[in-house]
Amino acid sequence: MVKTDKNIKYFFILPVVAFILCIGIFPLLFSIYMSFSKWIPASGGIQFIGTQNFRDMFRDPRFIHAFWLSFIYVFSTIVLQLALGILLAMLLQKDLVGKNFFRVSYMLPMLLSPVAISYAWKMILDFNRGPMNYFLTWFGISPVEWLGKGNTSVISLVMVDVWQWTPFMILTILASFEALPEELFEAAVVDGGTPFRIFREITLPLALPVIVTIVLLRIIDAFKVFDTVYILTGGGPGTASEMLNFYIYLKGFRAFNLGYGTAMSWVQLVIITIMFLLFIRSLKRLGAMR
Amino acid sequence: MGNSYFKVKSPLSKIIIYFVLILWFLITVFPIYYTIITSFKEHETVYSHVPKFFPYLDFKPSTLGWIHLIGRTAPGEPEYQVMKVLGDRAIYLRNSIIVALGSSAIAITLGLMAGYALTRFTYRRWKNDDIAFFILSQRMFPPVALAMPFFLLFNTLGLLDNVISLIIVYSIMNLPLITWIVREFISDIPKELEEAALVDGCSRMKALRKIIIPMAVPGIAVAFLFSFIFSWNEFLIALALTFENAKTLPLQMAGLTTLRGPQYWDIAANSLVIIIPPLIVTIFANKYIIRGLSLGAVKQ
Repeated sequence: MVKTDKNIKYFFILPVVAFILCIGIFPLLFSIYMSFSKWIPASGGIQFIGTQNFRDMFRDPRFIHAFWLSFIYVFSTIVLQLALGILLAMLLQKDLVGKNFFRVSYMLPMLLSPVAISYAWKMILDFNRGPMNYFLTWFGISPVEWLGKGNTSVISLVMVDVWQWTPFMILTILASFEALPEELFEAAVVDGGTPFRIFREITLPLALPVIVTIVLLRIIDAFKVFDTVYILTGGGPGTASEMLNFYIYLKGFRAFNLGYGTAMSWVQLVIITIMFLLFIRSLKRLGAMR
Repeated sequence: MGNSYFKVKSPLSKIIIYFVLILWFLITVFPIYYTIITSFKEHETVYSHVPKFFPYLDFKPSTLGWIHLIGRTAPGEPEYQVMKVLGDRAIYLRNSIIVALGSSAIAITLGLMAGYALTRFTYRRWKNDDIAFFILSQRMFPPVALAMPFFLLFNTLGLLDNVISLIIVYSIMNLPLITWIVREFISDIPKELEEAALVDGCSRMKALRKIIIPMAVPGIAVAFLFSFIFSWNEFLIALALTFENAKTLPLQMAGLTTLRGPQYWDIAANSLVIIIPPLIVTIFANKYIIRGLSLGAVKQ
């Protein structure tokens, strides 16, 4: 390589590093300080109050509820999305007429505004006039109060998330299947493998590292859920569907308790990170990840 | 494509496969379809006890929602129903476009430099993989955790309710994915091309401009699409950092219910304004988006 590269190589990377340090890292460090303090809206100043916010948190039933609810939500959406994603990717792996049409149309939900699609679902799930309850009457099921009751409002949010994000699973898992060498499948067929066995013993194990990555990405994103909660249920009825990020938002920007809000988001971040590290370590031990 | 594994032979399994695929297609498309038809409904058709699905067959389409959208009242409708919505909407639309374009431009410029640097140079003190991880780790943080420190920072700087603050925050949120995509595309461009140019006395910048950028255009396009769509749809940060002047379209939509109760034909017409740009992009640039998605997750 050319010798004068010494300086130019820093010229290319420094702006990015500086940008991330200023705009990404600095606010985060600042938010650590915020989590130990209290913001006074009137003067705009912040007052250091030690670990008060953290001690409050563990005595706050709404925080504990929102925390567990987020885990339940993430777990159920990911399991459903993974199952549907693998199934549909498996079908789309075949040579079919109209394959590309399905692929493109499946992509739509995740690219559209969550606010707009939340309104679409709000119309669909309307108790009296929504098509959802209308369709259920075809099967003799009595109308469900989708957004008005505690458990069903959480189920509705899971349903919308599955609708919106299964496409990501389908397309990425399909891409991982298509990256596998085709001769492998040909050889397996010649050896008399049934489609189910080929899937279980070739496709799935080979694509597993990628699927694990996709699941990890989805878990990170699923914890961020906010827009659908805000529009569809508003955390309600009562606090029944209050996910953690929504509760943090309420505390931070409605009650203007920014210190408490940042403290909660740090607890969330630390716990998710620990969970991730344990998860990745156990996967490595099982040999599912390189 | 003569591979027998990928062929579906028995008609029965063909029927089952198509049944499942079409069922998921209908589930996917239904909410979008329902929004479109609702935008052509009126009060009575929205609130009829049996939902109506087919314009002309089920119900007579009306343009009420769209008339409201451009800030007019329908004939015979009291004037106060449509307040100063048109003026506001034009401002929100302008804000959305400025924010999406501005943040994409910053993120792509930085992402291009980082992507180029990470594929073409080796860094010793901080290894290349460490830098890549450092950039990617920005994806971990939930937006609400970023919103709070940014709120205080922009409050101090007097940038609250200003499009500049949104541009800055969105560009940091877009940067990881863009760097990732651009890096993958640049690493596919053979190094020899540039090296030949450099030996011939071409400067780095000129090599970048004349060789790398033209060849990385598909990658840049993918990155641009993703970052534009993200910024266009983003809601939480905009909700936290703007109140009036810098509001974007999703915020204006979210405010519709509180203004005068849910009037779904109106909401649906507004939804379509937000939905249409990504919809068009998806239809015309679907190959790029699929490529970008598979890069984001699969190539590691």
